Amino acid sequence: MIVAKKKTTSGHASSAANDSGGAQEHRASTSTVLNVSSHVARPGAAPALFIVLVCIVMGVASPGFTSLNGWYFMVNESVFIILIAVGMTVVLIVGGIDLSVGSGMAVAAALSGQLLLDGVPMALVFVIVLLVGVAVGLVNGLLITYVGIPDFIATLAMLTALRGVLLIWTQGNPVLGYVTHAYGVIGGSTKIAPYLTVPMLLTLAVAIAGSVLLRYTVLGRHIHAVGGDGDAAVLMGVRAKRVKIACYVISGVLAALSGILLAGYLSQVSPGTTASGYELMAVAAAVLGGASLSGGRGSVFGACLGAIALTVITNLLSWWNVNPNWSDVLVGVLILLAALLQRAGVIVATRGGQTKRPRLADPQPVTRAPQSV
Amino acid sequence: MTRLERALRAHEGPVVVAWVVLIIVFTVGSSHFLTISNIDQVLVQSLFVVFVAIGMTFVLTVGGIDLSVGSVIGLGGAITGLLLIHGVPAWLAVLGGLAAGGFTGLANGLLITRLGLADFIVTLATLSVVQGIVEVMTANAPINYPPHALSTLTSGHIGSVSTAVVYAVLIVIVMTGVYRFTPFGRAVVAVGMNPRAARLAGIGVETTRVRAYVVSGVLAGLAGVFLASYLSTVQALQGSGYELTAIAAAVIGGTSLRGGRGSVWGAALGALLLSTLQNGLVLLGLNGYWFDLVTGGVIALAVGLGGGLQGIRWIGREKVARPYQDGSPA
Repeated sequence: MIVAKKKTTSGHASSAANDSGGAQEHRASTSTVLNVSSHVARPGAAPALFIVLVCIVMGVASPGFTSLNGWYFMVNESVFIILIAVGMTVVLIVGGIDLSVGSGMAVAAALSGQLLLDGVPMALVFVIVLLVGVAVGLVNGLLITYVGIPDFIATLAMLTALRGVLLIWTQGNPVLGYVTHAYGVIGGSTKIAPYLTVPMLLTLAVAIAGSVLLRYTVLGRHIHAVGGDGDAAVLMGVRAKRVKIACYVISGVLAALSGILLAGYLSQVSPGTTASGYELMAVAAAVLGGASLSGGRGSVFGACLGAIALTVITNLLSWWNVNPNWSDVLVGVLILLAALLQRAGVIVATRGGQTKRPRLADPQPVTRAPQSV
Repeated sequence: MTRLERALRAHEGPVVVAWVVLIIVFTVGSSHFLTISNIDQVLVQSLFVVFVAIGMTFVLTVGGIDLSVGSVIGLGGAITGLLLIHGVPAWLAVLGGLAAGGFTGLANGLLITRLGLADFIVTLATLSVVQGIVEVMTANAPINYPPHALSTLTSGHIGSVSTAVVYAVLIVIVMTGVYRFTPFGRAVVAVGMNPRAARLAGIGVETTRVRAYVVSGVLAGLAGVFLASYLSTVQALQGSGYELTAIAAAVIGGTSLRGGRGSVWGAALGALLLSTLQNGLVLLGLNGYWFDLVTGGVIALAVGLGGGLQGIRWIGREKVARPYQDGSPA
């Protein structure tokens, strides 16, 4: 989407920031281990730096915010965004975008609540809801690859349609009264150990699995290949359509999982508002964590840090008792600040690279001739 | 290639077809649909999205995206309303609203081009910032500006047509002209297609991108002024959610999300399609909850139809070998 970036963002910057794909780049530029400039552009560096900054400032200003308990609350709250941000990262790397995750979460949450009320055994409920997530992802993927609808529009239509289905089905009435002690444990409103909840463990597992998938599996390499250059990937024998569908299925399942947990955490699901707007938070988290909206690049680890940074931002404001009217302004400014940190890291890394090696030629950004959609 | 074939293959083809089908369905379904007063109502209700979608077409064509328009609608209305309350003449107040929108667009453009930040993130941030500013400005309460100050914009009539419709048609014509026949409009398309080639051809790539965002901001501000006039009050959140509707309208109308291609009147027709749908569903007596579901379906259908109509070229002809028929990986 952003083809006309300044020269500095092409070439060195993109490969230095490409953590998972640019291993050899790192080997070349980190001959001295303590080369700061090669690390500041790594995915996740900006949100990490942001979180550290917040820790330092708040640690001095009001220690309660960064206490263990404070972090427990923030991390426990961020898992829902982290889960969909991991799925979003996978979809962004393959060159797509999934706007349907917020509505997908809401449908999953309401469905789990309602099925539990209807007396369906809990394990079966979760299986059914996850299958619904698979189905949503599959429909997204098929619409995009075989019908030829642009990713943004297909998933936008899905966002609207899923919210509509939910409203028609519930007639706008909230789903409530389904929470049992067991579901509270699963949703993270009840701790299983000090500072530890089930969603935290699940999210950790998902993040590790996502990282491994993207780095070490055939599918993961294919996802990078299709997102980097679809035509080249097809000529190499990658089944691009299937790879893309798989990405949307992953995103759909993770949205369903996040919805199941959210239902347990909230203890009530409002069809109109629950998880609405989460899709943009997930995209923001993934992009702050180093994912590119034009595909081929992204990091699960970075997306997790991005999601935590976003949660820290919203919590900072309620901690300071900011006038709610001002909080929107500050959220926007802080998002910009985090994006600026990322950009600054890229610039620093590019300059560091330039002094070391003479550039043979101005690396050309990969531009793709516009094709009919 | 026959004339019909060429017309159907135009990027605006699907939206025209989808719209005609909808009109036929609703005319058969409800006797009230095809009356002048109802048509006028549909047109007036669509024009806010029409304005925003036209601006969005410029930004999408240049290869960007503008998520901030929803709150700029609120900003345009609020600035105009507050100026009116302080006794500023109506025309100056409207200009103030437009200027506020243009300023937001300028900020978006500069942040994106000068600092090299991602379009999506910058405009998502300004969406939040502008919404907050409007909430602070209005103390989160509706602004009741002096009555009738803006009424000429939407409630006047010429014959049986609202003046608002006349304004909207004028804007569509002017902006279509700007997009297709001015150096700026051509530069927008060139930059979206291939920024490198555009730069080599002597086009100021970054200036063009900034200008596209300014156009989007001004038109969103204009939508805000009209919405303020239509609702005869201003609320901070009056435009929230419009950004996605406007993008959908633009894409239904044949604009590419990857830049380099777009249609101003297609976007306007896309917005009209969504408004027709909403109106028709109500007339058919469907519960309001159905609107989201049907809208989603129609968006997918209209854009999917585009893919189908594009394929017409292969009927009865030798297939052109294309290695990657996904459309695109993006």
